[in-house]
Amino acid sequence: MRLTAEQRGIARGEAGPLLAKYMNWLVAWGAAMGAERLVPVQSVHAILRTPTTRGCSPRTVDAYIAELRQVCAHRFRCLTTTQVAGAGSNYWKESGASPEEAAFEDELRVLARQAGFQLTRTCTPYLVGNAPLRGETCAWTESSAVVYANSVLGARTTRHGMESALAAALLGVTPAFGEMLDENRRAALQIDVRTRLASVADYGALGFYASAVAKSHLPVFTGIRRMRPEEAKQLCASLPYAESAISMFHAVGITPEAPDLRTACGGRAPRVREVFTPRSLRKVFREMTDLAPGEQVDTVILGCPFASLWEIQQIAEALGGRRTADDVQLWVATSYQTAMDAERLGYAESIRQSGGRLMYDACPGSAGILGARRVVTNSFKQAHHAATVLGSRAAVGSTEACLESARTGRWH
Amino acid sequence: MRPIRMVGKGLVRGQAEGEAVVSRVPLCFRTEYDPATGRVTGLRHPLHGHNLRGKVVIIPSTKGSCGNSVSFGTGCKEGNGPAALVCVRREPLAVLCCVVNNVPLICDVPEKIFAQVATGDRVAVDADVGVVRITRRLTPPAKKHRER
Repeated sequence: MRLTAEQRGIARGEAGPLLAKYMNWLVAWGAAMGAERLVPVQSVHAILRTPTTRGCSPRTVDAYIAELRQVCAHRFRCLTTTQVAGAGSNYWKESGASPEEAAFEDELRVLARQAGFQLTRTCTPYLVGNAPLRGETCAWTESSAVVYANSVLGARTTRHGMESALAAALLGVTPAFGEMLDENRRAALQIDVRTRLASVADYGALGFYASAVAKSHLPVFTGIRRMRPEEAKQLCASLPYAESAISMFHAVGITPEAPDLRTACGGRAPRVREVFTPRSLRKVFREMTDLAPGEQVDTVILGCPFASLWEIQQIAEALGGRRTADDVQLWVATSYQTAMDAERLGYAESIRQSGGRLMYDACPGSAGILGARRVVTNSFKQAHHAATVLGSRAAVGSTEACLESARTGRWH
Repeated sequence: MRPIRMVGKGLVRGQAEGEAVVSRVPLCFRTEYDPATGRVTGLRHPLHGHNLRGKVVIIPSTKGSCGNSVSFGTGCKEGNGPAALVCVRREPLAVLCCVVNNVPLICDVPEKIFAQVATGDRVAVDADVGVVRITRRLTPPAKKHRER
């Protein structure tokens, strides 16, 4: 990789050992990915939270926390928002978090002030002020937000991890490879959508299907007439999770770099073509459903990725004050900012009156939630988390179907 | 005659030898692997129940969460990390996992590696030159290993 004299100096340790370590990681990572240089970055979405170390030795936890303290002793170089916390700040006990974990999450607020990052604790930074425009260089973590930034916003980021995003925040640069370069933003696989996408969950199913057939191809969707941000969010959340880690898509007539099919494919015809039929849609739902019709449900999770204010309003109105079943926990996950708006507007109170809870800063599927054995959700990503992080059985349905399960305590 | 030597591109230097754990399905180290034990915990993953501690993990790529590298690193600190990683595709998070934790990594191996190496075979990885070698087979070559 070609480095400037200043970058070489930092790598040699002229700005201290911590920056040297992070610079060397960035360079080694970039070189392995085929990058030729480091480019200035305008927006970072970083992982700054307690580690996922439940069950690990205190030594590992302490080392992890000491590292983050050291990082935060430096000043961040650009707009940096942060990923979800290790537990919901208002319901951390329900997530099974320890008081020590909760205490470190508190300490992060102090560190944020010093280092200059915004402790947004969200998987949807684009809903709370970190919303780059077309062409902006970003270094984002959160697999669904990476897809959203590349595809819906037209910004440019690769799939970052904790170390590379922190490096970008500390150094103000990131290696240019993958979707950051024009030639890697061209679609090769056309997926013609020949079925009606009636709910947000249907968009999630389309994402799972595309992830399974895409391999390393970048997909372009045709046949979708319009898409709401909440629907795009589900599509983005599914794409990295089935069989390949997709970081970008085009949707002809909808996303900014796909005015037509040919342009989306870089002036060529797509190399491969697949058709998404009503049968393919049903197949994805069937494969991700572990619950039998009529089977008891103990947990309903909405807000993966974090619910927008519009979604929360709709959930509150759909519940309409009617109680959920006694043995069902209904969770709606969102960011602190959106939760505060929902409080002010009365949606949060309305959800509580129905027996539901608005969790902010984390979601049950990523942080853990006690007592979840049979989970219903409108998100395929959350269903994946249920079957992995939570170790529970799961089913995916529309938001309405989920609320119905919350009321009756059964999967339909 | 099946070859016992496969070539890819060594991206993080180093040598390792160990039992292979092989899957045609990509793995998410954040959601499907428990760093506290080294076990694959994803209920739907074909490797569910396998322990990756000290193993040579052969997969198409990592997938899913951007938390892959945190969880992978935690596993390494706990002594539960893989000895080496071998991937077909060059996924940014797989590369980051190995760069940060100094785990030998070979990418760009041909897809047919899944027909050639089976879980339980003993393999030697030399990421300095990008070569994976089978040193001892668990099953006779005639027996086809199948997942799912």
